[in-house]
Amino acid sequence: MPNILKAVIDLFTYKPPQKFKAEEYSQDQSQSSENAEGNDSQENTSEEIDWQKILRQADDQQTRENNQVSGSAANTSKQAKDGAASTGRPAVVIRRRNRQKKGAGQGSQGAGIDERDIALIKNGMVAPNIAVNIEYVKQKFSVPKNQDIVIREFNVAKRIKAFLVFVDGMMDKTVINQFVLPQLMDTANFKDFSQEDILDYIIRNVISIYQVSRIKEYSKIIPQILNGVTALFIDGCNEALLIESRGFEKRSIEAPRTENVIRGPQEGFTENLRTNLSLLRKIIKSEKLITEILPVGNKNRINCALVYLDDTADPELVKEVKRRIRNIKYDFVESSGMLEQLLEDNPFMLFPQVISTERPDRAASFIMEGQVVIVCEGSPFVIAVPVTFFHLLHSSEDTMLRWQYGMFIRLTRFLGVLIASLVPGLWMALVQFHSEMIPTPLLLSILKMREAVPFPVVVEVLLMEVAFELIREGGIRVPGLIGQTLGIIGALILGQAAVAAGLVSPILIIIVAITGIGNFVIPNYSLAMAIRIIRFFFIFMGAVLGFYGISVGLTILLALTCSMKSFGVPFLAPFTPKTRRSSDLIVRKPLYKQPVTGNYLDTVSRRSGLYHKRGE
Amino acid sequence: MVEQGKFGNKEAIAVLVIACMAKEFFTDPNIIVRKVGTAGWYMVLISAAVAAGGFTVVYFLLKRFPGKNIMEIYDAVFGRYIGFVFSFLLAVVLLFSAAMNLREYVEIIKIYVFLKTPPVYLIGSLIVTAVILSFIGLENIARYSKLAGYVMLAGFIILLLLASSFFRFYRIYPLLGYGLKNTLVQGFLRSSIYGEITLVAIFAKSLHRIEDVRKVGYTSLIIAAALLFIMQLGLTLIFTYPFGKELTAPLYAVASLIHYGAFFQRVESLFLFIWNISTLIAIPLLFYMVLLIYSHLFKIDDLRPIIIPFPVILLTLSLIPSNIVELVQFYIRYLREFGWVVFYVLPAIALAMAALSKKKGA
Amino acid sequence: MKRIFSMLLLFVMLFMLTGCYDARDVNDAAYILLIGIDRGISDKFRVTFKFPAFEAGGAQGGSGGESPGGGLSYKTLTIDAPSFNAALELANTSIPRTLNFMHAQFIVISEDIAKAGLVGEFLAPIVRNSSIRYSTRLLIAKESAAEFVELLEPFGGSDITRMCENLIKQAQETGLFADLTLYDLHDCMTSTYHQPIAVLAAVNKGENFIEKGPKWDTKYNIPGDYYAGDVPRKKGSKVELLGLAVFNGDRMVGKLTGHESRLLAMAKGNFKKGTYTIPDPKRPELNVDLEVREARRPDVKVWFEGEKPFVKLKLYLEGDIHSIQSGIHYETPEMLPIIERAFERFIKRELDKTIEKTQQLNCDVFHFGHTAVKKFATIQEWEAYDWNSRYKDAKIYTEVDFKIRRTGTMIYSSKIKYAEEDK
Repeated sequence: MPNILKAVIDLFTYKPPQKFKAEEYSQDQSQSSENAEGNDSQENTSEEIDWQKILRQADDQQTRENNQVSGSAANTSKQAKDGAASTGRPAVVIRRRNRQKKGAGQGSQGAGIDERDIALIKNGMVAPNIAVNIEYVKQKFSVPKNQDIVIREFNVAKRIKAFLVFVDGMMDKTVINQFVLPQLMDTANFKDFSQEDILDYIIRNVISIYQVSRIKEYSKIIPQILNGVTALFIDGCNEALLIESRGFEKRSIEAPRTENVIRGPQEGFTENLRTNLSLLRKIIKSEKLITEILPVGNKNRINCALVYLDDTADPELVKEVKRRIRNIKYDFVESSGMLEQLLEDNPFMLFPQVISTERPDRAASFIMEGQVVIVCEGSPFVIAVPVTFFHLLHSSEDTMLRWQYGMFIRLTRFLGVLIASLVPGLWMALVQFHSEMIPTPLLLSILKMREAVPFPVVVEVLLMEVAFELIREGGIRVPGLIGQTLGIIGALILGQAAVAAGLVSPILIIIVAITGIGNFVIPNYSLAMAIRIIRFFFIFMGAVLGFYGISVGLTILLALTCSMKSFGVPFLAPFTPKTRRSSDLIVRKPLYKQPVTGNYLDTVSRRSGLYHKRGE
Repeated sequence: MVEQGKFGNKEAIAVLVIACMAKEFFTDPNIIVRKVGTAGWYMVLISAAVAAGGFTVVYFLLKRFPGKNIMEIYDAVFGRYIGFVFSFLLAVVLLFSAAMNLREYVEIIKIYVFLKTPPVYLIGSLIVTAVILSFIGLENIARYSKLAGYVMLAGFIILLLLASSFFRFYRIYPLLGYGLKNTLVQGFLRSSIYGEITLVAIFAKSLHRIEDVRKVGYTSLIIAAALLFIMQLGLTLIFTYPFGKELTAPLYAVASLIHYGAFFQRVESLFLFIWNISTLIAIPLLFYMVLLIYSHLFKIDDLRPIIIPFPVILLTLSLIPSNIVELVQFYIRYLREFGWVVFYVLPAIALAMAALSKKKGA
Repeated sequence: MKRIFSMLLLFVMLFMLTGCYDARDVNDAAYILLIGIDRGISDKFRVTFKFPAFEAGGAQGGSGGESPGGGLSYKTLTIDAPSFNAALELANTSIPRTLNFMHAQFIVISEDIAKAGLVGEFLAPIVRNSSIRYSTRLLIAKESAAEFVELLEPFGGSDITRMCENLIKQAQETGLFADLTLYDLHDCMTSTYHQPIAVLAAVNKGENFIEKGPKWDTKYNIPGDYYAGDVPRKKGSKVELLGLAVFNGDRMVGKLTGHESRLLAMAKGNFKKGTYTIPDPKRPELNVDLEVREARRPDVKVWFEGEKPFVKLKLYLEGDIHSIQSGIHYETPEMLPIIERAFERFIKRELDKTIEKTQQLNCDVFHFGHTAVKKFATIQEWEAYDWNSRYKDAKIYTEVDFKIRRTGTMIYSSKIKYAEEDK
């Protein structure tokens, strides 16, 4: 009873919303990084690895080998195994058996698995005993079932047992065939080898591969293997050697498909992370360019790279981006498009809160301005944060052209946004509420044209707008070249026929067309989508209350837009709130007047409220 | 205390100027012409001078108690109970003012644009906007008003430039209107035209420093006075005083006069955006201020629970006047002519009290 | 955020449910382009509306060649009613569309209404109606406004609005009438500074055009010295605008011819340009044609001696020579002033006549009140003085200054050579 009462009271007491405070944030940050690591270890323990099975099978293998020498111990163990298979309660039995076996193993042979191996493998470390490692790897990758994991066992210099693990198809065969296996197997390479650290010897003298590293933890080895790296395990070593052998099929660099420019580089990102990073490096040759790779997705764990300039990007921003990426609890992150949705500040707002581009030059300019660029594996689009409304209207063309032309096309785009979002709504309002504003000769011709149209204006507008949306969506979904033809034919014929059939008035075709063209001007696809939706909102507002309705709509929409933040930066940032660096965002000035790396940080830190101001 | 967010000076100036100007677009120029005839254009400057004095008092009061807003200062100076009364009075006047401005705006657009739409419908849509903007918060209202401010300023100037072909300078004569004394008295009484400037005292915490309060206050006073001066002068030059006395909404009439050839005429609907949006900012701002004071009075930590009930009060108040004549000649008139008591005299009393009792903020 | 969106949704739905009270489809309205007002026979007023016919046009309909907006036709409707608003409602009993006045070009009031002082009475409801705009032009029709409205048809085109707009624009080209709107009339009617004027309009039936008779010799009329409807012409548009009606308050008390309207415009500083024909100072039987412009705004000085106002008006005009029929070589520094002085005398004489005419009507249409008001400090004093009543007592001195600037394409006049006998 008191519990119920408490719950009721709890329900009716007002709880202030938990505000995200800057002080808490920094603590939270440090905690979350700990958490992240904690998560990893937790995952390992929680994974359903049957340690006993691994140990038993490793033991089996050894005993089988030993069996050739003496058979008695093998017999007992075989019996044990049979027993285990026949009982209905395997887990319990196995544990019991194991306990026996440990004793037996230690008792009988002394060779086999010692406590140290067990301890190491249980903690996710590479055990010196190679049999344990093989079994562990097999178990991890469910090897007999999983057929493209290759475990190649061999002997190093005919003496030491070793095996290679890699994913078939993810690696470059020539690397293994020509530079790893032959050299490891060749005894001549090990002539000088005396009982020192064999891994070190191999790294220094045997394998002629450009990048190798020694790693102890399976938690780091396994993702690497999945990425295409080859892992070399050698008996007696408690480390594995990761050999860089990545080489998989990939698309070559092509011209960007969605962002065309007249003047400017014509290469675009591909689906390959490394290629994309190299494309960025190619443009920014700075030692300050940092690339941090973080896995994303609980299950698929694809890599995404954070790229930023160390001295330009706000450290708080970088921290925040990392925090958000680490805390993504989503099983399957497919591409940057999904990552974007998992990272953004306001999922309910219409406007995009990150900017995606497939142009390396554009991404590089974002980096130079202090933004953090997130390159996601498997996606030719990279995303940059934080972003403001004005970024979304930029194209790399703006800066590549002389400033007069750049400013002109940028203003054209602003106009395009206005037209695309407002024109149908204004038309509705004009025709239904404010017909006095139409010049009389034009009004008279509209009257004549509309005389045969049976619908009210709002139906007419919606009819055409929906038809236009259909054509546009159809044009994208229909494969290849047909798409373009479909668009043109659809628009032409539909419009012409609709007018001829007296369904719509010709002037409306102009309205719809100019709206569509205005929308095509918007360089950012997400923003264009948002504007397409907003257009309908304004049509409704214009249809119910004319210009007053549109004013109401504008007020609400723009106030909401003002309240939007992208990674703590207000969406209309350089304009309101005003920040120092605003020279390039709205109006272009001659290049020499606008240094590239201004105080972009200032935008981040000054008034967003989320970050501390630097130096305060 | 309620988190209001911080914003810059330009945003604050924009929102205050818009709040001041929004109510002047409708019947006020008419009332001014009726009161002072041809002298309206400098009467607004007299009012501005008085308002500047009033604001100075408010500023000194705020300076004396840095980091506090006016309600807290009232509490600090008078103690909880009298302070409550003072703040409550301010809230009532602001709410009433919001309601009356709302009603006035609705009456005017009903006369000119929405002839058939029931007023409740228009009032309702404005109140819903006010509610939504209150949810979004003061910070973003201010930012939006900066965004809209530039556009509206441009529109306002374009309006007057287009109307300048109707300017006839003889219309400002006789220069003294109904006599200098009359003008001075009316100018003093109508100083509450700029009363909204003192709203800065309510959201003083949202500005960065106390110097910003000074800057914001005086700058917005100057801008508002300049705009009003231009507007009133333009109206005086366009309509002779007997004509000006007749017009319900002189500025709207100016917009409807504009006529450049067959193509560019009847454009007053375009200028509807100016008064629509300014009203859509001003009324939510007043509404939000009332919410702030109320939440302070009753120590409510969050505005959101009271955002829903307050519109009902606002709606009810706005429906009190039975007709436009009563609205203009009784409610709005007394609101304008005695608003200065609340806007300037209460802070003056508080300042005097604080000086006498030597109370000072930290 | 979610809450805001749900509210937004609620908001939009609310609107959709309650409907759009003031939304009206463009095609549901009849756009009145001309309004004519006469004294009625079966009721107080006779109101005439002219609006475009509702005919479908545009791309469809099979005819194909028809361009949108082309071939508009118009309909008129005349109705007797006690007031304007009553006429509106009665009109809607027969017209299936709501009448919309937003696009009205002209309001035409017949002269007898104006003379009976009914203008104010009639305009009272019009100026309160928000859909009738102050920028609508107001005309005074000589006889019947209904007839004028009916006969005002597009001339050389199909668009009546363009016709109206361009017709009014001619006021600037010639100065023979003025571009006056409802705003001007209403402003002047209530004004304490001056009295209103309005454009005179009439249907020209060609009665003054005499087909046969004695030919004129060397005499000629002063250009534009007609009242509307009296121009001797044939064919062309059926209507004409010429001259001004002079009001006292809202009562029409007199008329000014086109010529007088020009002088009025000159005195007010509104005169753009116009052509004058004056007798050649050396050979009075021949003419000199001048194109006259205003060089700068006229000087007006007003002073009072006791209660009596004194006005001094000085016009500054300039012009070009359009023709010198006599062929006398006037294009010299000595000879040009001869023409200039002759023209100055002519204008001063005509101006004095016009001013006297208005003083007899006691209507300050010359806007001397605008200057007179500067002598008064307060509205009380100004209203107590009552300028409009005192105008007739004013002593008005005029002065004209005229300069010839250019002589056209000829800068020298060669003598016309005749055969021997004429010498």
